[in-house]
Amino acid sequence: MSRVQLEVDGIGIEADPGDSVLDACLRAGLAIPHSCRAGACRGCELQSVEDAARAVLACQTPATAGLRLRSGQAQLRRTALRLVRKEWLGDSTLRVVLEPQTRLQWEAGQYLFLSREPGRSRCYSIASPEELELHIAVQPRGHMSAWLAEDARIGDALEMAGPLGHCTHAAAQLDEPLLLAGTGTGLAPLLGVARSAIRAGHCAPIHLLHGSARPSGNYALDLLDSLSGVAVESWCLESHPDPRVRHGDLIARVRQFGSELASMRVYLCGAPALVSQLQRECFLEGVPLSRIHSDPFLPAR
Amino acid sequence: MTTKSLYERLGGAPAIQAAVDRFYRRMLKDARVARFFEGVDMQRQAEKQRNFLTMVTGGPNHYTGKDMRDGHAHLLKLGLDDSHVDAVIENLGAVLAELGANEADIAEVAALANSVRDDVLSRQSRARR
Ligand SMILES: Cc1cc2nc3c(=O)[nH]c(=O)nc-3n(C[C@H](O)[C@H](O)[C@H](O)COP(=O)(O)OP(=O)(O)OC[C@H]3O[C@@H](n4cnc5c(N)ncnc54)[C@H](O)[C@@H]3O)c2cc1C
Ligand code: HEM
Ligand code: FES
Repeated sequence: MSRVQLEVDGIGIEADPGDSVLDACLRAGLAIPHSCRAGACRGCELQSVEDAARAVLACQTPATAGLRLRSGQAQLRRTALRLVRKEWLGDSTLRVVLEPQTRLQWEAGQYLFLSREPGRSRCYSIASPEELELHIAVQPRGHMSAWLAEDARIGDALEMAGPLGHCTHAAAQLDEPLLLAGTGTGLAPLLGVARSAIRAGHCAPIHLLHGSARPSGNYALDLLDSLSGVAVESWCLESHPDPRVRHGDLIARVRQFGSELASMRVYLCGAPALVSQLQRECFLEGVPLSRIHSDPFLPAR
Repeated sequence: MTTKSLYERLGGAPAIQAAVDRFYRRMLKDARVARFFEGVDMQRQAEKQRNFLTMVTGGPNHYTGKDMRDGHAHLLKLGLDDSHVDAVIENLGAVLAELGANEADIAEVAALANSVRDDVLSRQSRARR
């Protein structure tokens, strides 16, 4: 089988036909941040050399002969981090705070590519404008999450690339009603947006709807209680022992906004199936795509 | 003498951007074609619709017939045929009318879209309709 030649950052790379550009680059030793391999996290975005405005997602692009690309997303700089705090929120979610070792700019609600060894990274969203606070859903044997839960010690060194993402308050007008809806640790970026909104003096209503399939997913009830200036609702598909949690479906709840939605700016994060369904509902109800910000939390692959 | 393309007369990239939401929403609400647009990331799908609208209004694009074949090949397996191309062209006309294009413009765009019909449907060119 004949191999194909492509070029990334001026370096010649050989690939098997059928390889993605990402796999070809990784095999050649180019450290390109990546996580979802599904076109969502955008860590692997490269540019065409011929047309700098043309973005190419390396995980979604088959390696073809003569392709010339460059990396150089300035925002995907790497930054050394130190673990400064970790605590459990409920029995399967960890709140960690990381301290950048060099100057880092971020907007709450963006996500970073966190790694504890070169070449492997996981996306996590930033829950606060003040410190790098992450909410980590602990997955059994999760490369990052189980390590953070079981082995990581305060003071440990990690590295990040990024941040990236548009689930931030920066795009919002202060008098636009906000709808922040999500499940599980999708709460982290929503909390980030809500906190930034309050800090910026947002003057229109802010609705934060947090849903979960199981009671353990409503992990931040006390934290949400302390958030003033935001209309918070917690929902669970199962009945929940805590009276603050309502029994029901987030999608049905969002539909209740009806035509009110069309004037809102919407942020959707968490379980991918839910995010895409809500995205569609909101869009068909009249919210322009430019006012729908969403991060489906796809697992790393 | 230069004649401006409809793309330019409509107002270029910003106008197309505004048309994307209208067009895309129409497609999702149209039971004849909605299924072709299921399950794809909406923001990325919208980028593709912008490319589509830019192309058929005569704006700057680099698409070749081969790109149209490759880009729609996976839809043939879902049953893509002439009726769907007709539906797309119909929705396109409705959106352009909403945006103030006149009948001649709309006919011109329909002709442009029709000119790649065989490529979109991956068949040998026949007599154009
Ligand atoms: C843009 C973006 C932002 C994200 N932000 C956050 C965040 O703020 N907090 C957060 O907790 N996660 C977030 N995620 C999801 C997170 O990056 C992935 O779930 C990641 O795979 C977790 O890594 P891990 O090393 O813990 O587990 P892995 O080693 O990747 O996976 C271990 C096992 O768990 C399974 N698994 C992993 N994630 C999930 C899941 N979500 N649901 C079901 N099964 C799963 C895997 O398939 C595998 O079998 C985000 C994802 C994206 C794309
Ligand atoms: C009428 C002629 C048509 C033209 C000129 C056309 C043109 C285009 C263009 C330019 C793109 C964007 C490609 C890209 O940027 O990657 C595209 C994508 C797409 N088109 Fe068409 N198209 C036509 C008909 C149709 C029809 C009839 C359908 C189905 C009803 C359809 C469904 C799609 C879909 C689903 C995509 C996105 C594919 C993907 O996810 O990669 N198109 N088309
Ligand atoms: S977008 Fe390519 S790895 Fe996530």
